Amino acid sequence: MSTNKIAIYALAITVVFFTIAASSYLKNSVYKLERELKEINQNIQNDKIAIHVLNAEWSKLNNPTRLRNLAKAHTNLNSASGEQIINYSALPFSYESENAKKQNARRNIAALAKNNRNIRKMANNVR
Amino acid sequence: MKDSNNLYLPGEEINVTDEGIFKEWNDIENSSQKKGRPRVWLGCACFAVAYVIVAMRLLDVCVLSNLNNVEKPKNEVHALIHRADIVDRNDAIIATSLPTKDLQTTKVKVFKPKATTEALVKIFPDLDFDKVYNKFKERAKHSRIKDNLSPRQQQQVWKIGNPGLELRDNEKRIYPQNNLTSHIVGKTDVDNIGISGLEKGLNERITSSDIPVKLSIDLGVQDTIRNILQKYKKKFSANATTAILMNANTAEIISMVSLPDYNPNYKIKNMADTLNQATNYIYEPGSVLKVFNTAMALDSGKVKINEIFDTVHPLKIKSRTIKEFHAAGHPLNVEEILVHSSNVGSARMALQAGFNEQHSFLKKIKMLERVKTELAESAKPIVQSEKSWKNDASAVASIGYGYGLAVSPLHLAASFAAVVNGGIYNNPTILSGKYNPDKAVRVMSDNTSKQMRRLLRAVVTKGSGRNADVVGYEVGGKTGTANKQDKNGKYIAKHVNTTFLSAFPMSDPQYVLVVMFDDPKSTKETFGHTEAGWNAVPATGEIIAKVAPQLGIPANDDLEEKRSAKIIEAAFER
Repeated sequence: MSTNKIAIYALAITVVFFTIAASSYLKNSVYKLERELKEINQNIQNDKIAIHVLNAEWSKLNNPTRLRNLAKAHTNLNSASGEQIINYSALPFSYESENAKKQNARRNIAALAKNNRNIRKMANNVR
Repeated sequence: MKDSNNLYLPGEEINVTDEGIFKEWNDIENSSQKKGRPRVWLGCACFAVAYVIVAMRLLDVCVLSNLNNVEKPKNEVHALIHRADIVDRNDAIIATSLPTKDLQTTKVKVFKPKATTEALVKIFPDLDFDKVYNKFKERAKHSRIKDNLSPRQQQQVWKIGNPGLELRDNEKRIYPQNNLTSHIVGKTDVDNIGISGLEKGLNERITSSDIPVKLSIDLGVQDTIRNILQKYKKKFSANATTAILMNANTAEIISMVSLPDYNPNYKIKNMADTLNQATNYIYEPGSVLKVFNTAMALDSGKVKINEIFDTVHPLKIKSRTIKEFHAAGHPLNVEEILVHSSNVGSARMALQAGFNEQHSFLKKIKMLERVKTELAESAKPIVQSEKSWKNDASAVASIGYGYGLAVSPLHLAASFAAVVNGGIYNNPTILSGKYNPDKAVRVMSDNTSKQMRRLLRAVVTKGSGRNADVVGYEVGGKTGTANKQDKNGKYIAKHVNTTFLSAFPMSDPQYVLVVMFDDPKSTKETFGHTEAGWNAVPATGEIIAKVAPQLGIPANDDLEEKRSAKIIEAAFER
């Protein structure tokens, strides 16, 4: 065997060896990262369970029966009756400005026109 | 060179020639190199082979072994909870599961069984010493000792430090709303399998997906109605009471209260409390069936809205005589029959329409079959067989005024919604967003529904429903009082079921409300009366007055003025 050939073989073996070493290093670091991920996932899971438990607790504290009793004990409020809810039209004054009225009217007319156009289109399609 | 004796003389210059020595050394070196070279090569080869083997193995471990099944890193968080939550329409939790631990034995023998049992009984005072001790002695494997440990109890068990004890993951179903939704959600058993209500009816859905089940129930409304019903149940010492509030157009159940109820978080003490009066209680509803009778008669076309019927004389069919409960003393038209709740008039209307119309109409509005919701419970109506019903005119007549057909309050709610909403029947549902317009069935003409709306409003303004006329909400409805039957099917005097079917606002019905009392007693305030007008109607009035603002229905204040000006007639024609 000539020296050249030996050198080439040696080089090849070295390269292969380094490649393998590098891949094993890569694998090792991936393994480490996976362990880290597992830990993070475990933490997320713990947090999720904690949130879940807190949600349950929150809804227990917000139980309407409990809230009603608390409101009764600590406030002087009554539940709203029907007479307290009225339409805008029942108000004694005009709640819209002149400009708003005009804009509303324009918008209504535009909507009507659009609707009519759609109906006409549908009628044409049927024909 | 040296002497013959080979010794250097003193002062003699020593003449060193190193040639010879080194030559010899080189010779030695060369000869040994020649001899040793193959061995060196052998050594190198051995090491090379060793390294190659190590390298190949590394290559195999690092690259080749996982080429086919590359394991992806797990990103998702493993779910510990196996049953999905149940939430109301505003996402408030009705049922949820909490992760807990169960204490059980392992394969390993429990050492110091006596001391361990003593320690356990100290932590859990409800445990039986002998039972646990026997378990340890018999070396029962994976035998449960205690379910659902709290975190503090887990810590205490860990402190015992016995390898024979194991904590296994489990979950416990809890119901933060306690009694409020007990009949709707139902309960699960110790193995977390639904045994009643939605937990049973939707068991598959709940266990197969993490996404919460969203109900159409509104907890605020549910609580308001339950509170009012509780008050009235106590006031009239009723056995039981129920209320169903349903969206008239989509048949979504907004609230379903049934009293008595139970706390699903604890062991049930009285099994009678678990009966859902709304879906499972079958009874003869009495006069409220006149609503469906009138709708049937009008829709068949065989009875006209202005037709007048003889209600003065009792109606005789074979051996039976049908009499008036509240005699009006003069012939009545259709509206008056409904307003005065005339038995004779309704019976005559039913007979005029005939069996075929009656049977097919009741079948269309699903009064003769189970109404299935997502709940596990449903009830089958009781009615005589089609054959005997067909040949029995008295059966046709009595179903006309509310006897001879036993249904559940849910049947009444679903069918009543169809009567007022324009004649379209939707199957009731308790899930939010499950309404499917394609599955809706038309059961009567829009015109009949319009006429019915006007008649039902008249019952509240002029008839027995006056106490439920909440200002601004145009309540319409029909009362019903029917005697209860004993076990042998005989009617018991003075023990009644009272029902009020109502809808509001009547010009464009949005909600249907059914209130039922089982055996309400008379009080001083009711002057000895037990009819629906004295208990179910005021309860309905109070419920609507409190619930309608919660549901966001604007009160129509100037309605009374409009009605007197007869402009309102147009409002009924939507």
